[in-house]
Amino acid sequence: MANARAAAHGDAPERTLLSPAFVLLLSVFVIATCGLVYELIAGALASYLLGDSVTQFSTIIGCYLFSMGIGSYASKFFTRDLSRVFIRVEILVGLVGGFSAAILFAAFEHVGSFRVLLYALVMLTGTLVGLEIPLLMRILRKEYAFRDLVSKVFTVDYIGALLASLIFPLVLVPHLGLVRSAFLFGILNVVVALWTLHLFRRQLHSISALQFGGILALLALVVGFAFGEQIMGLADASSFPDRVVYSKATHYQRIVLTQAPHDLRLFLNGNLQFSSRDEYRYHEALVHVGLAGIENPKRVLILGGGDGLAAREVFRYPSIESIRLVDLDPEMTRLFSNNDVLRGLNRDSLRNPKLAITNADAFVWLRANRDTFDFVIVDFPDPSNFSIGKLYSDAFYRELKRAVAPGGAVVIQSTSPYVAKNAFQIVDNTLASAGFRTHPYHTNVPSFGEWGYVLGDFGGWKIPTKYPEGLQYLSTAVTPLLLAFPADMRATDPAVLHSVNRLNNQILVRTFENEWDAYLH
Amino acid sequence: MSGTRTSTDRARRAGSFDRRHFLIAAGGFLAAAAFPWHRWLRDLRFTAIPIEEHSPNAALGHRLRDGTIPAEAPAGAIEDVPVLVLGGGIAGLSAAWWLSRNGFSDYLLLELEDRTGGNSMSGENAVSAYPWGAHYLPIPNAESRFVHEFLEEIGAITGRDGKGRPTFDETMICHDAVERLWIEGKFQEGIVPQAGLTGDERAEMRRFFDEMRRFGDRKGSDGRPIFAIPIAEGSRDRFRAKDLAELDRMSMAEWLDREGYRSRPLRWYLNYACRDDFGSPLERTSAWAGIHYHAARRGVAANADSQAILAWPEGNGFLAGKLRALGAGKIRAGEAATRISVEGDAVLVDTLRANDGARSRIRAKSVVVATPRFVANRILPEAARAPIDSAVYAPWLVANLTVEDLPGTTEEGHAPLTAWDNVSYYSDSLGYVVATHQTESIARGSVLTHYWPLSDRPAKEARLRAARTTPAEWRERILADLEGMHPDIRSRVTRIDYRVWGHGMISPAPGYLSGDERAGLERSFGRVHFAHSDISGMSLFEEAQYRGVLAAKRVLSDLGRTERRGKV
Repeated sequence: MANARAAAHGDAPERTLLSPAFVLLLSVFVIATCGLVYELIAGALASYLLGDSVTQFSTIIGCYLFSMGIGSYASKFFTRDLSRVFIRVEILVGLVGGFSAAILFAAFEHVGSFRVLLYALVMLTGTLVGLEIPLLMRILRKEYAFRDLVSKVFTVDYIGALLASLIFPLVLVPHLGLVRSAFLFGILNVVVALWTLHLFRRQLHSISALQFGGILALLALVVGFAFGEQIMGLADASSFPDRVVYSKATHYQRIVLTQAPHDLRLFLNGNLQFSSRDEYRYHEALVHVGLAGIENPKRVLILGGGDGLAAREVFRYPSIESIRLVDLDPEMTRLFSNNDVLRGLNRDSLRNPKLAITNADAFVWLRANRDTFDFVIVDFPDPSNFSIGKLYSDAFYRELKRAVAPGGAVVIQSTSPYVAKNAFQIVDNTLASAGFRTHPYHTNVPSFGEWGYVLGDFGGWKIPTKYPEGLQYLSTAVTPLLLAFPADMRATDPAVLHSVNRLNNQILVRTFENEWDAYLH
Repeated sequence: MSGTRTSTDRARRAGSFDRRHFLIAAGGFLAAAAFPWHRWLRDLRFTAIPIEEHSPNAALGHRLRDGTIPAEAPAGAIEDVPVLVLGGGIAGLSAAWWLSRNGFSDYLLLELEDRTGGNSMSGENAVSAYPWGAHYLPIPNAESRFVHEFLEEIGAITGRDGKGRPTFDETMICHDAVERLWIEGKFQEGIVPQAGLTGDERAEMRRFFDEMRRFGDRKGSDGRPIFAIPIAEGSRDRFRAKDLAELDRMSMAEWLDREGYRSRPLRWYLNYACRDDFGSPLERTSAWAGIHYHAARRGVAANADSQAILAWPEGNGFLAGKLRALGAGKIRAGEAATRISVEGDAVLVDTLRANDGARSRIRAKSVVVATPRFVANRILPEAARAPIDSAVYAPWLVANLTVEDLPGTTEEGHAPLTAWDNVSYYSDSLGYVVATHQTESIARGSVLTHYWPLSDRPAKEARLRAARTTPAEWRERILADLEGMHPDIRSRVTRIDYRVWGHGMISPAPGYLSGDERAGLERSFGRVHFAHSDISGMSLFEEAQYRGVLAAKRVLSDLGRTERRGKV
């Protein structure tokens, strides 16, 4: 690299391609690229997790640039040992930036205020990056004329930014994903820091601590790059149509949340549970047809429904004194109690003091239960395997019967009467076999298709004449349509007309599987 | 920086860095220790699946056999117990049950192992309870009267319908799907091969099952069925009729050849059945026994079909547990009899405690020896020993594999439509049963109990070979075996526990059932009575219980007591 002043002084050997000055300029380039990549990752992640990409990108870029200003200002307080400070800052940037995406994904369920953590990370990265350029210019002050220095540093800085903005959408997001991209750039950051350290080893004293720290950071980042996605369970994101923003294999199931613009979806074991666009249709039909038809409901039991969306609908009735929610999976109720976005969706129903959560197997819990309830909502996943099929058996409904107060009713989510006509009929038969008077009904939920429910009572339920305020879908005018079954939603197999699902025949699971298979293939 | 300042600076800084260094490193290690490395190291196949052996206490038995431990306990205090039961398998536990049921509770039961149960032993871990041996009970035949009585007592039979058919607790009836077979690249329901059969093969299957129905309907001159459970409740002609005696003397393979049953799927199934119930292949199983498997089941239920079975997560450990609870306080586990001698009217039994070697002597009025006879023969006085050269005890391997997810679970977590019993047409093992099948829980994890009768060579040879096989070799054999059905099995299993049953069960070899040696085992020696399924010749719950009850009846008669219920 040519340098007039250096040439004049005759210390040319220092001016090779691998001279400290060159490496420092290279650092600027890497820092600029990495800095912008971290910022883009934070922006993309925020719009994945929180939606509304314009707001997210705009506020994150603003916050990031402002933090760089803070860093630049703070740089004047470092007066001694600048190279050491610089290297340390660079390792830190690598660590914070490298882990940022992983931390944000992991924190999605745990942190009540996800935004606070998001902006804190953005500001920390911004401040550290902001520190670097002024520090570097001061280190290089002796190497270049000021005019040269400013020109070189900023040229490299802006080229880095251009590179970042091109490779981010074209290479990183499609091929590496956010988590691994962040780790990759963290690794680059630390490698450059270690290289700089190596070149400055004669000027700096006691560098072993710095070396050790750098190598440790590098190792952590490499492990993160290699296994981060697997550890966080994001590796199978490709099997879902939209971006996976949360994925966890709990003791009981695999919970996945995906986010498309204006559409948050929950999957349990790969099966769609709701889409935020139209879940109101599903939940209004699930809850109100039954609940609005019984006198003065006070105590409600929800089996399943750990997302709190059915509970949200139940709380529309001022007469409700308590809700008991029994969901198998503590991770599920924790997620929907703690995360901002999900709490917005269920209107904080899981934190309502009138609601008590029990994490237990519904069958086991029900067998031990001695309480009675005015209304019971049974919202289990579809009977797609033999374990879940038991929760649709006559043995289960007999236990359920004991939990219903006089004048009360139950409602069972019962898969699609359009796709699985015979399976739907079996749920109806099975509930009836346990002694319930049954009232099947259905509604259209665009993300699911035509969906069915079976209501059961002992004479205490009447077709609702009034619904709570504020419903988006259900009304007394619509109700008769729900209760009417057109010919294409009636059982086709005469053999199932009186079939009951029992533990030792599991006829529901078999019928359900056959019908869905035939429909999907 | 000036020289002097730098050096002091350096020293100071070095010191503080060392401390900080240490703190950072310590923090790092703590964080690293908290992380479940073992899990993904295993997933990445860097570490092997842990495996542990839980085989029966063979060492003690062998030392007694070799004379390393003297059979006779040194003179000391003598404990007096009216009735002593030796052996805590189903036979011994049932003898105790029958005594209690008839108002006699002054007995003591000794078990060599640290818990009772014998072949119905079970275990439990954080995921599920699981069987170590027998794992189901068919809907009992009418002649299995003691089984009916016992099931009523423990609430497994909840009532009877108008026709007198028992109603079973429906949670105990094996839930659907009961069994499936891996054949032609997929699972079919049921274990009798169906997939890919030719017309001739199908016809031969039909012919075989029709013939079995005829055997099932066949009655002796006394009007009793030939094939009954317990065997001894069948017609007295069961081994007397010429053709039936001949059946017991020939092997199932010879009979099939003679009758022209040659198709591979049928013979596979029949070989599976023999190995399943008797631990021996067609060639070393009596044809009478092989037919009994298919012709003797006639149980009826008000709320299940006659082919239904009762099953529990811990297998027949559930039944053993009920029996154990009924004998609470009168069972001493971890204590073996080393010598039985007769002195006047009394029977003296010398014992050894397994954990500390403590010796004691017990004096009883009557003794039930509910151990396999090859064990009993070692501790009995010369005159009481029965020849058992024709008895074959088949060795088994039973492995319990704890799994995070059932094999076949998709990436998204969608569980497969599995069955309770899962068998492969192509494997030498008998496949596995799913412990959590009989629970109402929908947790992901489970325990798979893998059964492997070591019948590829004669029992003694197979037993010695099994004893020499290392845990790592078993692990590889078990996983490789299951990989045939489930290519993903290795990534599901978190640990393996296994048990080699050296003398797993009595095997009805040709000639054993109708032979004089077996008949001789029924005889008591004074007030020493015997109870074990080897007296029947089939290792079934019904047989073991029957032998236990018969021995208890003899004890009650020794003591001059009359029974409140039941007569044989």
